[in-house]
Amino acid sequence: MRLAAQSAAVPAVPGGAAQRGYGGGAEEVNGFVCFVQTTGLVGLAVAENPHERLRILYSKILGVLQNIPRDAAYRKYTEQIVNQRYNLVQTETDVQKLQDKLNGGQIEEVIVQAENELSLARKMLQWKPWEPLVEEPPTDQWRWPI
Amino acid sequence: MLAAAVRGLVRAARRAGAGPAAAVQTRLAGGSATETRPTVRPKNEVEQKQLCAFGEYVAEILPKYIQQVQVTCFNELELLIHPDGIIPVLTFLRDHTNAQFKSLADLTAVDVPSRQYRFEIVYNLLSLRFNSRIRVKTYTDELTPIDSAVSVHKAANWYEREVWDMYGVFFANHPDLRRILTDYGFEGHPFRKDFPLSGYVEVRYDDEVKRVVAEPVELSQEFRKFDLNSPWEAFPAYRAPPEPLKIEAGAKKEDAK
Repeated sequence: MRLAAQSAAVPAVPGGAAQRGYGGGAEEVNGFVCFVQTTGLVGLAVAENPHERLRILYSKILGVLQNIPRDAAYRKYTEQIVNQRYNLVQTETDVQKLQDKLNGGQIEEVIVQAENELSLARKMLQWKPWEPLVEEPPTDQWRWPI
Repeated sequence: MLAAAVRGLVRAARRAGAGPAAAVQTRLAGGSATETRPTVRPKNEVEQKQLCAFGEYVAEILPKYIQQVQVTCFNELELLIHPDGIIPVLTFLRDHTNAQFKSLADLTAVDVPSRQYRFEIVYNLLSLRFNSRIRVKTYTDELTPIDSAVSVHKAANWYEREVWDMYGVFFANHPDLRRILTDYGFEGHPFRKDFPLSGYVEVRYDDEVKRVVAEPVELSQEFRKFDLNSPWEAFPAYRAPPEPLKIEAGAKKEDAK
């Protein structure tokens, strides 16, 4: 569940990042025709085949989620998010339109976020946070004022 | 668990609810009724609902560690967790797509000596993607170490050194836990409530030995503690319920003699 109203408070990707730094024209890099020169973000290189990368990452995440119990809330919500994004990636071929539909910043940022979600899913398998509370706090621990 | 979360939310709602509004309105009975409390911030119901919803979402995903969730009256979401769950909860908040709290704004501690676990460690996180903040709180005492957040947020490094220096809370797996603000040979943890305001030692330059020496502190005037409580009740909405009188079984018989 996204805090949609709050994300609207952030203007649609500020600064030059709204445009993907389109250069004078297409330039050939390693055989791929790259229309974009820069993401505008330091340290984040332009992804040459974002659809493929996202497809791989999302299918890996779904694979990791299969090992979590079906009734765990984390699995339910993450599957929902990942399936939604997966469908968008498969239906939309244009990168710019895909960015707008996903509403998660630039496509490279979406890839980074998918990588983070994958590492989180793998760690969740070890931590198992869907189990019941590990220990109740002492009765006066969270009382305020004292 | 959800019960604990709802309990916390109800408590917050009660706290945020109608305070002594009736008293103000009776005073302004003669004047216009349009603006009753202009100096009080208007309640932002939408934001409060969103934060409550997000708090419930996180509590549903991580019931193993989250003991309570509360939203303050000025729209700040707080997660109260068990100390074992520091790294899982912070990693979840940083990496999950619906959270993305990539920035650790602050890491502090609060000393409440009357509690069993006297130190309360507070993490303030900021999400740049969703423009929202969250607070994560845990507890520990003087001797129990707590997991370092450096593996999750690099920014925690110096903050944890400061908490160690000022409170004495030990962070396990910290790369370089040493003093950061106190003097090199300083003994004690100054921000603890039992550490006096003037400290235990004072330093001066001694001409005979030609260096700075530390000596026990000598105050020219003894410390004056002012009782700043006003004779009037400050928070009528937070009155503690009166203790019921307990009559012991044997006492009354003896008095009747």
